[in-house]
Amino acid sequence: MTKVFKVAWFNMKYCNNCGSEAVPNMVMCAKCGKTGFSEHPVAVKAQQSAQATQSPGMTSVQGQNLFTNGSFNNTRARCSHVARFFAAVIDGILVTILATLIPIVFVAMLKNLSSDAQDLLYSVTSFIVSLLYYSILHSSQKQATFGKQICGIKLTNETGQITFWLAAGRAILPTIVIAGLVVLGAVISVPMFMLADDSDAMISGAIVVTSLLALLVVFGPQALILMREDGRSLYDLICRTQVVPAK
Amino acid sequence: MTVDYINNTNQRTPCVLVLDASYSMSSKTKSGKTRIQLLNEGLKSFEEALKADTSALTRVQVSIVIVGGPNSKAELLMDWTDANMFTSFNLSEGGNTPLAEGMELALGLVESAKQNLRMNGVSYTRPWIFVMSDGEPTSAPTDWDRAKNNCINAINDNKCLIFPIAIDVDGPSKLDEISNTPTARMEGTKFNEFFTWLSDSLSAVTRSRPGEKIDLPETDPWRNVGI
Repeated sequence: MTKVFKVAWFNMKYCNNCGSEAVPNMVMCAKCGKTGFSEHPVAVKAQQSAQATQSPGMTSVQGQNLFTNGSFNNTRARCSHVARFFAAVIDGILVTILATLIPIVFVAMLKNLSSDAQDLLYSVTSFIVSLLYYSILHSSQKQATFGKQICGIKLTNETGQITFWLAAGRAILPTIVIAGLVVLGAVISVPMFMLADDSDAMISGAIVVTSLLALLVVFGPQALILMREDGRSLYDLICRTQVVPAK
Repeated sequence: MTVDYINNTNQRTPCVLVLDASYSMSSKTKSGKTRIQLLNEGLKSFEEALKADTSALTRVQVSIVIVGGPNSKAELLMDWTDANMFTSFNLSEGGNTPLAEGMELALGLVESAKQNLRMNGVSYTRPWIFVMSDGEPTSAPTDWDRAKNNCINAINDNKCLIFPIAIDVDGPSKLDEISNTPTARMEGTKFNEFFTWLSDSLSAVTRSRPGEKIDLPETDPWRNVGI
């Protein structure tokens, strides 16, 4: 007869090098071949990142196995704010160049258009170029725009692969959110200006409130990056994505 | 080691898996998956089959040695683990096939398991060593000769049974030299079937009595030539 036996308790451990999950009695990591496991990969990695010599703007935390057991392991692999900022700046410059030149060439190719139609076409083409820039590059094998690639970071999610439509949705989200907040700002500000009449104090107050709303519109969603431990913006939260170090 | 000799004093059947994780395991099979992917799926099936069998669950001990892999060496990947605690994992392929070193390691593991079992007063059946490889060993000839002799001596001294399995290999294989048991030729896509068979076989052995001869399940689902 089979005797009753106790099942030994095993706390989940992770490789100190690559973050892969370890099974009971594993002597070395099956993925990277390194020894050393820890129950708290975050603590180990944070310690390593503090000690290691780092490339500018990067933490040494790796982005592998970011999402395990169906939940976000938020602080395990976020990239630095500096890397993300410079990536955004580089992408901003590139997108500005592309979204200016391509529509100019495109509109120039189409003749016999009224100036209004040209303006509209220019704006639409410019928007599509920006959208495609982020969508195609984020859904590529590198999962990163050129700015992110230069800064050594990438976009990822639970599955580890960003689809084109997810990338497109994430790229278009700022437009939707900003448009929504602009409408909200207008709803609040316009009556204030109307009520202000000729009172300088009231106009000044309305300007301050409007400016604050504008700041909220532009920087609010991104401000979460600084406020949250996992460095995820509002758009990341909505799309269930996270920007992590590429290696 | 996660081996509970205090609460579980059942007779044990130690089983070492010597798995080839060399670069050649990245070859794609007809299914479109690589051999290592199928091997990983097979390990998962092994875990499920072991855990579905109450007899095997309390009586089988597993240990895993890889040859090749990330460090391109023969290394102990998983120390002795009771089946109830065995959890599958994904191997990564890479490097050479230092099989001689892998076999020496497996023989050493078998001896250490037997020693531990004896020390804890737990009976055991003859340990099994399964060697799975898709290529020729890259060990030095002298190392290979030594490992080969040690394997044959261990079998002749009834210390263990060694089952070599050649994956997608036609014709003679070096694996033939490490055992009296003919090398089984496994089709590269049959890892799942093999590991399910292995679990069933281990279960059959765990139910046996000392000296009793047992019939192992048919190997037809996964082999090309009989074991």
